[in-house]
Amino acid sequence: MSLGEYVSDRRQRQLVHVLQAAMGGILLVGLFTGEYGIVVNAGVGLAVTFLPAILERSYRFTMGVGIVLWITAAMFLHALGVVPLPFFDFQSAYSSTWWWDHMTHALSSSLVAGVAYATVRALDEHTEFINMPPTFLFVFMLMFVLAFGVIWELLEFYISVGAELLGTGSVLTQYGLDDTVQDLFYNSLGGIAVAIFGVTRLSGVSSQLADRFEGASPRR
Amino acid sequence: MIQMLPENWFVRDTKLNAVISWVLTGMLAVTIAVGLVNSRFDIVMLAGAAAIVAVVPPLVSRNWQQSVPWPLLLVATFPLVFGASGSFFGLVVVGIGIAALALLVVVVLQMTTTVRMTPNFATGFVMICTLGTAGLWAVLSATSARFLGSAFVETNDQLMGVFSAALVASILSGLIFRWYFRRQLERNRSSGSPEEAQIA
Repeated sequence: MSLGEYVSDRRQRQLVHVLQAAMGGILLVGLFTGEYGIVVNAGVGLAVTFLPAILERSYRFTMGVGIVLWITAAMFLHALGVVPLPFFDFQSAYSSTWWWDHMTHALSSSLVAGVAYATVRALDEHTEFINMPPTFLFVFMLMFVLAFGVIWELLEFYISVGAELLGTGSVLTQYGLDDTVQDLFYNSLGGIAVAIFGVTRLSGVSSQLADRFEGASPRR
Repeated sequence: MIQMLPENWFVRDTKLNAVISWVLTGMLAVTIAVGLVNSRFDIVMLAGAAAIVAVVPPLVSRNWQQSVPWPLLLVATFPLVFGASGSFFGLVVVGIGIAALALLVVVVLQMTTTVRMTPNFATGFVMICTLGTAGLWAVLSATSARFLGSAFVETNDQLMGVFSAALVASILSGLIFRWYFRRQLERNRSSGSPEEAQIA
């Protein structure tokens, strides 16, 4: 089951480019209005969307277009969230809705979980000295997403502390204890979704292989 | 670095080690009982995990003298001993205790399941678990405070203090375990043990 069964690769690639152009537009809006926060958030997000191409060119590491779209969509929704929109009386989506932050946290965490899954699976396949059965992999992915969430909150905190010390406005904001805990919670939701998807898919493949081997077994 | 995480780095068979470990296990059992009576499920889980980890090696080998290294088990009890501490240093010590517990869990998993890790992966795994446990604690504690009225930190700054301590503990544990694994490798090399054949 993949996006490619419903939307062609070409369309997905086009969508990636549309979203990147939109982020470029948001970046320009930030520059024209002098909003440092928008410039940084849109700029970093846009830069991240070029990572897959750089990885392919410099390290010959190719990702499927679905993954690139996943990354780009997550970055785009974050950038879209910080810009003032007429739809919200020229406030940002982040400040106007109670759920935008939760959505982007869940989506970004799903990405992080995906990276953890792919890395561990690659290590598992690569060497007999690393073996991660599905149940354990599930627990590992949850721990990884939680750990990443903690590090991210620490980053946000120390960046804003630094910004206060330097006298510049905050680029990323922490809104308080409840919000931080909610961030971690929605991170976990995104991580759990990917963990369930990945591990059940993995188990499905494993049992299919087992069936095949049994069919070829001489003791039949 | 050696390819496999050798079981004999973490399972001792001396009587002295076993006696001390069993004494600790007994104390953990008492702690579990006390925790149950007082409905302190965080204590029950921490003590329970440490007790399970201590009991698996003798169970699996059917030999009461097989046990985990008692210093490692002792450190794994730190979250229980220093859990009430509010100081940054106390929290770091708790974090290191969680890391020790995670390492023992890895050892037990390798003994009882098909899970396999290299020492480097195990170190990374333990570091991730230390941070992840802090995050899990935050979500569970906050939820419990909201719906059951239990205690939780008051401000975001305090929460960041806990997370910072977890990060410090994670890094320190990573360094300690890496150093320990290197030392074990040197020891094996100089004594010419069979593991030498496995060295990459």
